[in-house]
Amino acid sequence: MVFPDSLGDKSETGQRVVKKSLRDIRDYIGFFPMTVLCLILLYGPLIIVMFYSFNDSQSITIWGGFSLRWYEEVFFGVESPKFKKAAFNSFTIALMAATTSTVIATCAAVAMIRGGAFRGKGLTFGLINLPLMVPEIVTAVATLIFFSTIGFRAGYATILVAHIAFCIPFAYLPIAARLQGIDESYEEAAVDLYASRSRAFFQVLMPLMLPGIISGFLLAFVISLDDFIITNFVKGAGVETLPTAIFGAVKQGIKPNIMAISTLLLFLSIVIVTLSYLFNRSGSRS
Amino acid sequence: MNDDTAISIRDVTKYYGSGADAVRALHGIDISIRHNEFFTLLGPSGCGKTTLLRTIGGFEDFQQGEIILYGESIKGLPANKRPVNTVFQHYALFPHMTIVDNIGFGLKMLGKPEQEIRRRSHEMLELVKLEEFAQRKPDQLSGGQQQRVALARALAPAPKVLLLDEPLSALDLKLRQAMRHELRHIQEALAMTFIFVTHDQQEALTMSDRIAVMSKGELQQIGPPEDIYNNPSNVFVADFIGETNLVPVTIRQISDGQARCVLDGGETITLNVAAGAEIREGGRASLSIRPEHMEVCPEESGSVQFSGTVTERVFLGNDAQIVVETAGGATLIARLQLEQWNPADTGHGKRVGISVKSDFVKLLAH
Amino acid sequence: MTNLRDNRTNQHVGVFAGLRNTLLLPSWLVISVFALAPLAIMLVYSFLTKEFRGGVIWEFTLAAYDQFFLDRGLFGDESPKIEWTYINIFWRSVWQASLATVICLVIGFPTAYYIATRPASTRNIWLFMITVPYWVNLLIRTVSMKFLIRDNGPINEWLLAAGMISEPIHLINTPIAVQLGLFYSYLPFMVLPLYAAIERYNFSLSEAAADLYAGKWFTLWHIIIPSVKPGIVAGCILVFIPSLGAFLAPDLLGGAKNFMIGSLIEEQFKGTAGNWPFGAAASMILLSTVLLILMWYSRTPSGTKAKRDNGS
Repeated sequence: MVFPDSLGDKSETGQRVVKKSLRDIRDYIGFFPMTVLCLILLYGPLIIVMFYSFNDSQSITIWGGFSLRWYEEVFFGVESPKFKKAAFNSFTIALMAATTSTVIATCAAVAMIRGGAFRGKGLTFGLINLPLMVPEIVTAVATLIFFSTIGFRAGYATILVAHIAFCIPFAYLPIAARLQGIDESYEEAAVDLYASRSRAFFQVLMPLMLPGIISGFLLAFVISLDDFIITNFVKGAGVETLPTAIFGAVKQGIKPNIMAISTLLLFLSIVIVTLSYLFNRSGSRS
Repeated sequence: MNDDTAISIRDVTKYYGSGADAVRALHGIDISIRHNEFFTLLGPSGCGKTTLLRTIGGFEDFQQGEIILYGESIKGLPANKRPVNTVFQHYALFPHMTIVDNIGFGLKMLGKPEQEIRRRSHEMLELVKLEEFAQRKPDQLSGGQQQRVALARALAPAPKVLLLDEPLSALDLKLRQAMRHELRHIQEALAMTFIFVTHDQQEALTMSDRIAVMSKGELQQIGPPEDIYNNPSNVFVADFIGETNLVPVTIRQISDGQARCVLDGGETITLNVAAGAEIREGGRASLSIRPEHMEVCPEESGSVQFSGTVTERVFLGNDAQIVVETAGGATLIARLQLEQWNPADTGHGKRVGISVKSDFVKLLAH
Repeated sequence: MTNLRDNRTNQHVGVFAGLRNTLLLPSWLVISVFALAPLAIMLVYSFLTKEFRGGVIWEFTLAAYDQFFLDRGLFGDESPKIEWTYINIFWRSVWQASLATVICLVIGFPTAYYIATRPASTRNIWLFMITVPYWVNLLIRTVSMKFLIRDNGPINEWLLAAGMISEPIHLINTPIAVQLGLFYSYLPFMVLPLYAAIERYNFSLSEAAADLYAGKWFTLWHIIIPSVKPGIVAGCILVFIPSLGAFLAPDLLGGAKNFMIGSLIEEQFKGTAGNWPFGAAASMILLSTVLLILMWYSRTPSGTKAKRDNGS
């Protein structure tokens, strides 16, 4: 492994180097610049696209002053009906897929974490996580072939079903992690105090699991909203989601309105990850 | 069955796992707990005491035996159908509910009217002296206060028996001692049956009407605290309750309730055999002698005598402790009262004689 | 050991243990029907005969695998030679994915280490900054990269304006562009598990090493890296597997000349030119490779531990 700046501190005075290593034995010279590089790599392209989405000029890379005209075009331009329809599909599918997969994943997490040892537990865990282990393109191919074999017409419903199956492990992981941290004596106390199993779940265990359930839901929502590959295979003709619509448009060249849509989606992602982060923090504090 | 029996545990046996890997958690446990009794299950961790409590609470199943609560078998009954409540080791207060809602939870689940729940909850808050904390959340309370809420919550539905799973173990020493008295007072005031689990023998001795000592899933002895302390039924109980010296002996002869025992060093002692002690001629046993029953060098007749060399002396404040290595190879710890405490005679390397009244020497099976 | 006995000797009556099978039913059902069964049908398809308008004829044949590995001439009557076209595409995928993994590791390790050694108050902010791109749409991130490195994109414009180059650097539709897209896509996948591993590392080991006269870089190589190896292996797997089957980066940044196996598969299912059995066979080859890697991983100490934590 190469750490380019590893020898860089030799130019400093010997005393300062000694002081530094005394202050913290854990610091490595060059690791901070690498971190900055990492963040620049991660954020650079996104920030530049965001920046140019406010460009007034028709020519993409020449700065022509600040303007919101491309955002206006996204919402009211010639192509806006197409994108609005795609956005509607994306959000409704994401909402339904995330809700369904979160319910399924919550049930599975309670069974797996609270069900004791049982035969086939490892197998069940593998099954739940199957969509994570299989490359997405393979899942996409398999799902397309499956729907075609059983004669299910490709469209909105096929996208939704494929997304539900694909989102289960993403919802499962944060929910299971949260449940693992909750002492079993809470639900024992509830049934000890005469609660039925369903009341013990809905009035005691579920409120305690809620931060994990919300995280799982948000992750599943984003995964569904972002998915391109599976959707692209199973959508059939005529039905588009935002990613497939964007992909189609990009094939004809990157136009400024695509950058505006990208920026909007970028902000949506930031809002969702912030929400998830805040929920998780409020959860871990109690 | 006696009329004042609250719970009768009959031959309860439980295994973890199955086949060759099965681990015995409880083995043929037989206990009868009386109405209004403060009954303690005592033993080291892993002895099965918590498991036994959890079988009464309905959180653990068992393969064999019967548990009878006021004349009715509760085997197989789910926890939410049993008129017993539990104070959990780490309290398990519902963190998303206020204190008053926590306390009222059981009554709410039982479908009691709102008004009764409110009245009873405040009665309980009063009992544990936490009226002003009704609207707080559990994490805003100190450990001792949380402990009292847990108690109030378990008492609120007026269970027939209250189960307490090491409820004081998470508190610091001062608070723990204060809570022992408070718990005992509450138990007496409510005239309720308490089954209390602890690994702390001090706690068990100070609070209980009767104690059951357990080890390795088996019952060792049941009895009032004084009885357990003064007449332990075997080496485990003697060693676990308080401090004791165990001197291995071989039984030479038993006749007329008396046993002639030979110490490993060759000395012979004759002692009374307690009724039911499982010792036989030619077998090995142990003498149990409490350190406070040993005296240095008095010329008393009828007492058991040892002699040896002092190898260590520790000053403990109001008394002192010496370690004596006997000729036979036994190590004895003697506690000396201050008046007996003569630094010149009991220093390191001094030869001393030790005598014990024979009443205080217990002959115990292994 | 019979079933009945097993049930009777369960550890304890967990409150929800009795509902276990009911609670697992939905996930068993949904994943078996919509994820496992499709994979089985795909396996069957890879042995079927292709139908020219996209689709299959239900006749068993090895033609799809034959086509992947062997060249029998234009009319299929020559003696079989090894067909290099698809093996090369597969090899290119493995190579690109490996390179992306190495680059992610080289950038990701110092980053994860730096974040893990920050004080608790700022650590979460750094971590948050790494997490955000992970949640941003992969398509948008790939498009952003394409926009950035185009011949007339911002980087070339700025370099030209600054006089540092005299003509645009041509990156788009080269293997380098694909590589940029790949490691950029999956960099957070490397940083997060590495962070988790380094955060658990006991730094008194570093202090003990220093106390015994070890140099810092020696300590890094011989103490820290062996200690966090499970995290390194997990991060590498999380980057390598999606990179191997990537479609967006090679498609948007690589063009026709830089096909990876993901683009090859996709092509078989688009329009009428496709060959479904061949696409299914290529998918099976990709899936088998991935499963072999995962099986190897589950046998490593770190994988065994991960399984124990989650599975049983």
